[in-house]
Amino acid sequence: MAEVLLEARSPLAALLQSGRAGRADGPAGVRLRERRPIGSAALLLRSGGRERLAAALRADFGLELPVTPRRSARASLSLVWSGPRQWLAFEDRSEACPGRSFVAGLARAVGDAATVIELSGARALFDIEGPETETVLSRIVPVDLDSSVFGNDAVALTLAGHVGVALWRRGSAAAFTLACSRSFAASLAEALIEAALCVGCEVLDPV
Amino acid sequence: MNAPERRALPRWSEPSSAATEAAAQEQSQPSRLAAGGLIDRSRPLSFRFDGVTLRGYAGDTLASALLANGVTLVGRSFKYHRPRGVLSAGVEEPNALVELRSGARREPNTRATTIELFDGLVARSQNRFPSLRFDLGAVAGLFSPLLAAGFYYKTFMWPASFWERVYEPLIRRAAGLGRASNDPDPDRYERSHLFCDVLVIGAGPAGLMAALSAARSGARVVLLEEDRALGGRLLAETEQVGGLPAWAWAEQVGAELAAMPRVRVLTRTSAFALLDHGVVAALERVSDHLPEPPPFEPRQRFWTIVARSVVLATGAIERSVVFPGNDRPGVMLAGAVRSYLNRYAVLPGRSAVILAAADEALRTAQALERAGASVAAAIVPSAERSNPLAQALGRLGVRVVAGGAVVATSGWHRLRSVRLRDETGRAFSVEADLLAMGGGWNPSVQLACHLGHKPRWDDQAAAFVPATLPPRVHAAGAVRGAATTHAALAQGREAGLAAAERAGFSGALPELPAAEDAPRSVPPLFRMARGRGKAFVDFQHDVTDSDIALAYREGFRASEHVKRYTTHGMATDQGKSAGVAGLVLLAQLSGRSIAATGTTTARPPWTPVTIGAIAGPHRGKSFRPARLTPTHAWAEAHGAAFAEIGLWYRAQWYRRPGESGWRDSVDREVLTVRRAVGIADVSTLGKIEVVGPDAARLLDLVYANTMSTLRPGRIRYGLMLREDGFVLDDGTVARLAEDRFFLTTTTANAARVMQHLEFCHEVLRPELDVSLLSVTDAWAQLSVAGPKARALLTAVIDPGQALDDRALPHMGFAEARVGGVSARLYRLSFSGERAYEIGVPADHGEALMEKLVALGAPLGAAAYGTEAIAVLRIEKGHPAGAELNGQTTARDLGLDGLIAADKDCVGKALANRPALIDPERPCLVGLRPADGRTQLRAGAHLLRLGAKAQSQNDEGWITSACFSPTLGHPIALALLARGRERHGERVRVYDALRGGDTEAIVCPPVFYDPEGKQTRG
Repeated sequence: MAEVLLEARSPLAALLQSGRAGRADGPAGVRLRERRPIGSAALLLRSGGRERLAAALRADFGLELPVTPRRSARASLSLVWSGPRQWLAFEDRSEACPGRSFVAGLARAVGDAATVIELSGARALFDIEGPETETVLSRIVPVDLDSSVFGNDAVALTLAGHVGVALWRRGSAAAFTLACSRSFAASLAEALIEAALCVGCEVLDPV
Repeated sequence: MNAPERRALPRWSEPSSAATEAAAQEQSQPSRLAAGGLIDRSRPLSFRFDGVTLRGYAGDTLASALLANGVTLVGRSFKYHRPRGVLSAGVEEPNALVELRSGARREPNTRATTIELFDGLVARSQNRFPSLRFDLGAVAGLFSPLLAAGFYYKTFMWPASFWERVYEPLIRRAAGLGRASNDPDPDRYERSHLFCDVLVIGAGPAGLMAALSAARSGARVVLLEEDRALGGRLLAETEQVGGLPAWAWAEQVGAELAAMPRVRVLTRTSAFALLDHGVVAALERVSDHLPEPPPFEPRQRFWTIVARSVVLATGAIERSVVFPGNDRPGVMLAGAVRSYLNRYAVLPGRSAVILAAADEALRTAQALERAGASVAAAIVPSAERSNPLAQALGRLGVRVVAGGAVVATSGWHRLRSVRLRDETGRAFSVEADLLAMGGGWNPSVQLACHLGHKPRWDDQAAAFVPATLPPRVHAAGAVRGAATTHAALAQGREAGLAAAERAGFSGALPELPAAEDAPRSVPPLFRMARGRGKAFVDFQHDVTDSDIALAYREGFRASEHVKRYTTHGMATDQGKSAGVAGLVLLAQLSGRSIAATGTTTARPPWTPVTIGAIAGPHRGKSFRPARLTPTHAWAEAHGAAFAEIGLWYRAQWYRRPGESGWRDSVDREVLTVRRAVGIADVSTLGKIEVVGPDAARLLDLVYANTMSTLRPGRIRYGLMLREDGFVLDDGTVARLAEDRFFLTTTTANAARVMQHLEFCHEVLRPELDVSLLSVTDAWAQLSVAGPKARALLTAVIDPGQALDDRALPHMGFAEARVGGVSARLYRLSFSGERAYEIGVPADHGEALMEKLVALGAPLGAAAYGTEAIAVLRIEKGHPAGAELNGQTTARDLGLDGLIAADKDCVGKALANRPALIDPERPCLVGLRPADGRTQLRAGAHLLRLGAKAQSQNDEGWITSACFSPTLGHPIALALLARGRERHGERVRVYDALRGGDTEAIVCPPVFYDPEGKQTRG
């Protein structure tokens, strides 16, 4: 396997330097970090392929296909509903072997039930969590994020400030991930930090 | 805190004074009552007004502190510059408008009655020169007959030229009250969203009960209160609720609400607009009461609140009365007098005349007497002569004049006496420094009217009350016309529960605390006799009753017309205290009932909202997001100047040391591409993947030319038309596989084309099995162009992919690897030289740029930007945004040959409309200056030689122009009527906007390598 000599660089490397921003006293109200999946792809449903797609995902990856705005996750793989007949698939850095080609595996598994298009680096992802997460997000996101209506693994396609995002709650915690198109990454990072200044924002290393 | 005691005359040799400081405070605040009020006497504050240092306490407003210091003159009126004092104790204040703070934070026209006093506050009166006491502007009062309503429609007519040069600038300078700061605002502003089941607007007795009701049912409740403390009118009166002083009961309810996790109480927050779908806009004055916002806190916050149900408990505002001389400092609303006495422990005057209904008059008289003032006389409506309340007034020692009227007041800087007339017509004067007037109460229905629901006049309440309410909105308390505290509490708790039930929660009504429920008088609508002096209807705009009469005489009947003609109700107070008085006058003049006269439309905002709060964080560069290409950081580090193209930041050129102007850089970059090799970031062009068995069929529909015949591994130029036959966009289509296409679009149209494709699929051809995905951000796309392009490409691409012209011919596609990363290679040219585009996953784009520049150095490679791209494509005559402006057809651009004859496509039918195939239509030509050197400019118009420069002689215009370093002279592309027949002809190039008038020679729209030999290599 050829060595990768052409470096990959995140658009957020310079902007999201680890450290504390905003209010300095007391624990930070939120913690912010970039999320860098080792693989991401778009899954586009083909005509009549819904049942076969759901079956393939269940069999090969143990993942349920979300049919409403939800996220389903298992081990290092997650599937996020991102529109009618569309999903985003992510493989996180973890026990996964670095050499595995996630996209190829996915394409093999789904066959002609869906089209798989590689999207590595096309989206910038932000993880935000902490006691003041909902306060901070409510400054830029016009969606009700209260756990009574936006529960575990709920997904919303909405705006954060002026940037289009897919946003989901990770599990049951006050922990969210926002995904935007790569070219908007700097603007979204600035909007998130600006919204978090008054509660104190701890920027952590990418995960 | 104790109720205000009977105040002794100020004696600051009192032995019981606690400290010298306290004595000094009392001495310096001659009108402050010795005890009582909801102020915090343990926190004295110092502030400045018009340069004089004064004292107050925490809990004061600027107005209450000024009155405590005996300052009764606070401003000069708008038109006549009459001395004015504090009228009210709330947001309805029309007179006490001051300039607050200094420097960049200076803000004009703030209401002294709502400014919370803080230590070090600096305020100045407005609209006076040279000083408040002596204002030259008062001379305007002498010209008042000439300055009546609408005077500017009848004056300043002659000479006509003077309007723009003299009159308008003078009027503009005289208009307005205060001065805004021109410096950038140093504060942060925030916007935020809030979601709830029940939103209660107003925390007076009705609102507090509504919030309690709803909260106890388990609903998510938000309670908004404009004031800094909860309680509303309860804070201004001395009644009891639930056995406690009213303010203490309010505090207790507030504490209960604050302890509930699903309840949010926002004080200092005004709901200023009721919008569709249960959305309410509100403004929170987070730091207005502090000298400076704390670090990282905003100055103000704009809340967008989405509620399932809304309870309006916005209360009522007292009406002023129209009588001669009703605007002097010392004339105040009766309810405001009680606010100052009870809440702020301030004595607004020592000898008062009261003009109100009997119950209002009695309460006010009692409060004044308790504070040590005397009430010289009280005018009550004639009908209340035998009312026991009127008799109680008499027993207080007040001279009761039932059915009387005020005919004049006197006193210039301060009220000195009031001339009264009793029912028999006998007139007499009374010495007074305070006139407390109460014309009844106006329910604050404005929010309920924002969605178009007009209120109705209720004769019994003598007020406009809500008629119909928008869906999911309830009203409770004084806003509905409720006259007593008991009624407000009862309506509030019912409305709160009803609102919670509508949101899906159920509960029980909370216990109703005991509260006053005394029968109320019908509020009077005083018809004051004409007397000496101006009788003001709208204080802030200096509108008098004769102005209303003038409007009527001039034929205006509708309340909306009278409002606009006289400007009554159009100031910052929006007629809150005076609106109904004007309507009553109009009704009287026109002989109609008030119900028939109607009221004007209430529109947002309820109170003024700063632009800063609406902008929130979206200021300066953050006004909109920025889209950055994968090589942005590299470009910044290498001298790029950026252009904003839509949201994108694109490098226009890369300045090298020693280059002084942009032409130096651009000319160099163009020549580098023509002679060696250039590298450009073209990642911003839209990229779309079209995948599926029916992909080719969809593309044949959207493109004018045929894509289904494109072989895998090949690229074709694609022209897209709009349904109406005009060109939508152009780009390239690469067939990656039988069922997979990769489209490019222009940068500006990327989103539009994607929408168009989705529309064509979802609506026109839903049966097609095809998927679409925008992948603009997935790929970093770099163009490598020039005679040495293949040499550079060979150096960069990993071995394994042949790059000779057979393996990768012009308009061919191949996959390859660069540094181990999979890449896509496209051979296509926009510049007219041998050129390739390399696409790599976006994260690798910057490293690829570095690699290309490094490996290209020995070949003389250089990066080139959008300006050079433009020059290169103009030299080749390729249409771009300026030619594809939505008004041109394929035929205009010479591309009609691309429209396939044997298939249908979007736009084909309408492209053949007679107007679109008219031979007179301007079509694409090239131009070169007749003298070989005069610059041609895009936007200049083309005329026949000798034709007069008039629009009927217009024959076309220049779309794109530049200096061509390749050819050494200026060139241009233009649209010219029948241009194809006119090659070689001289035309006049007329640029009225920039003063250009020259001649050019028409030529074919391609200046360099017309046979295209360079691209094919």
